[in-house]
Amino acid sequence: MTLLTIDELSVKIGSSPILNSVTFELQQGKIIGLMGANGSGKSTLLKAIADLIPYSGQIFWRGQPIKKLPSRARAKTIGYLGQSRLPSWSLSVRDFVALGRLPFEDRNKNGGKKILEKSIFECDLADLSDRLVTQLSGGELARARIARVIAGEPTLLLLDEPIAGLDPLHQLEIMHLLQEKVSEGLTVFLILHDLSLAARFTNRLILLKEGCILVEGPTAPVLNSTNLAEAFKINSRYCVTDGIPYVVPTYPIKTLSEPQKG
Amino acid sequence: MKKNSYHFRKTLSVLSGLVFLFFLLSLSLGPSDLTIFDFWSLGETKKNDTTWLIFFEIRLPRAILGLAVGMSLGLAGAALQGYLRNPLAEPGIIGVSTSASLFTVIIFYSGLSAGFALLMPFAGILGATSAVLILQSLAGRNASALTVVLAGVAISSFSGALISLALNFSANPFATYEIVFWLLGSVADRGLDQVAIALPFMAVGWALLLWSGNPLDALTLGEEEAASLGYKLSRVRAQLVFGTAVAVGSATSIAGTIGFVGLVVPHLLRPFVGNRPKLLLSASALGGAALVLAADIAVRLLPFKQELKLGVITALIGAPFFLLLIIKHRRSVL
Repeated sequence: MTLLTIDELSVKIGSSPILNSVTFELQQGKIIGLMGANGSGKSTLLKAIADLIPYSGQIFWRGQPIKKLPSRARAKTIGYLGQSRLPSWSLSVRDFVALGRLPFEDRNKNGGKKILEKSIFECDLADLSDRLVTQLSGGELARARIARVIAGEPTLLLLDEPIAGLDPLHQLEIMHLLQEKVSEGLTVFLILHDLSLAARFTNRLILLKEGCILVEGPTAPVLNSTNLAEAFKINSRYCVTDGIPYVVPTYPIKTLSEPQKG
Repeated sequence: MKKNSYHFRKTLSVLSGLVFLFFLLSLSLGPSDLTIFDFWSLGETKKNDTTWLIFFEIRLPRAILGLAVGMSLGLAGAALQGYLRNPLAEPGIIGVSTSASLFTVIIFYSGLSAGFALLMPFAGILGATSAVLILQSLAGRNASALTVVLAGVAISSFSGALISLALNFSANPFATYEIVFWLLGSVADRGLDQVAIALPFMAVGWALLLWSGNPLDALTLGEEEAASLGYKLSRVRAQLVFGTAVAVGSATSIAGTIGFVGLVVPHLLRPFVGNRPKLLLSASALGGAALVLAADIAVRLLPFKQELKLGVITALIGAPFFLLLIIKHRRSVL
């Protein structure tokens, strides 16, 4: 089922075009990855979908223009998590996660509190709930941020590099958590830089290059060496070991079998 | 949340008790030995009695004003710190109070205050609004603590320079004397009629600021994530700018410049409300009222021949506190 349709979306900052006539669809219950070189327009695309920056073109939510959704209803439907940053004030983990319930009227009632507790539990934060967010490790903070958006029970989650700066264990923890939520019906559209995690965890992938979609489709075919050479100027090989796909990139452009010189 | 709610309620109860106590003490202190019990025993028929006049014309306006001005400054400090996400933001430090003073001095200076009493709070509000808007445009959207303070210093210095200019060219030495004493900040010798003019404006400011709690909580996450939670930031900004301007502008127009209350109070109370900007609003309103009432009691108890001005004592307490705060936040500020 199509959740979101992006039609000819363009964004300019001043006179510089950042996104040029981007068109694609997001299907419900999938993890869709967004990849591209630095400055290709990934974060801008996520912000435009979250209505945080002005854009031209159309965005449809279940077939209806998204602009018709009141801002509060939109906040209840689409969760947005920007790039990692510490909150301005050092709240307790519980109060921090509770910010995700702000658009909801039931946040101080039993129903809202149960959802809050569920989000804290699902993100394995129960033991940390009274700790201040400034006292959390990078991995714990990443889980708290995910718990904050999940607490809003959105239908679509927009995540801008949610695993940036995390060690492999915490990266896997976050990706498994997202996979679990997607199995319950959530749709996740996220920016990633790790090709192997994208190969393993995303159902579909969009590659951006200089503000345009280079290729979009099921993950495995998108991650072929031609596309990655075009998007990132790297050579790469898509491999599968024990049923787990991964991508081996090389730098600069040369074939993997080519012997090292010098 | 349970833990913080517990602290919050307890904090509010203690602060309310302090405000009540200081309010009664304020009514009981003065050159005459009359206490609150003497006023209590007065009947309706004794309206021309000296005791009645002392109570209603001198002490009651002073106590009400101490409470209202303190609430305005404490609340505005908490709101500005939440909005700018900066623990050094305070109406005095960022130039709001000085700018409100400047506009009020212009009304004083021009002699318009004698004929149109309502012009005073309006001038204060206009001055405070201008300062917040100029600060925003000078500092930019994602200003650091240092930028906000520097922009505030610039506004404050410029407003101060214009006040000095007005005093310099004042033809009437008595007017100059009056303006200088007014600028030092005090809630003494104001009548109930003056309180009646300023109080409704302050109340409008309180309402606007107290209703901005949820967006202030959301702004903890930064502007983009706050907007993604459904808050229209332009509306939030307008509400906070206008709320601060109305509360601080009208308070300054009647009491002069009383600095540092909005800095000290939110900083001291923040740990008791789990650092939540929303909960800090009501706590700082009560804390501000308690602090100004206490300072106003202190100026009456200090053994000086001439009563110390309220603004002087808050500055004497607040300025070292500001320095300590800068040392504490040195890494993030510089």
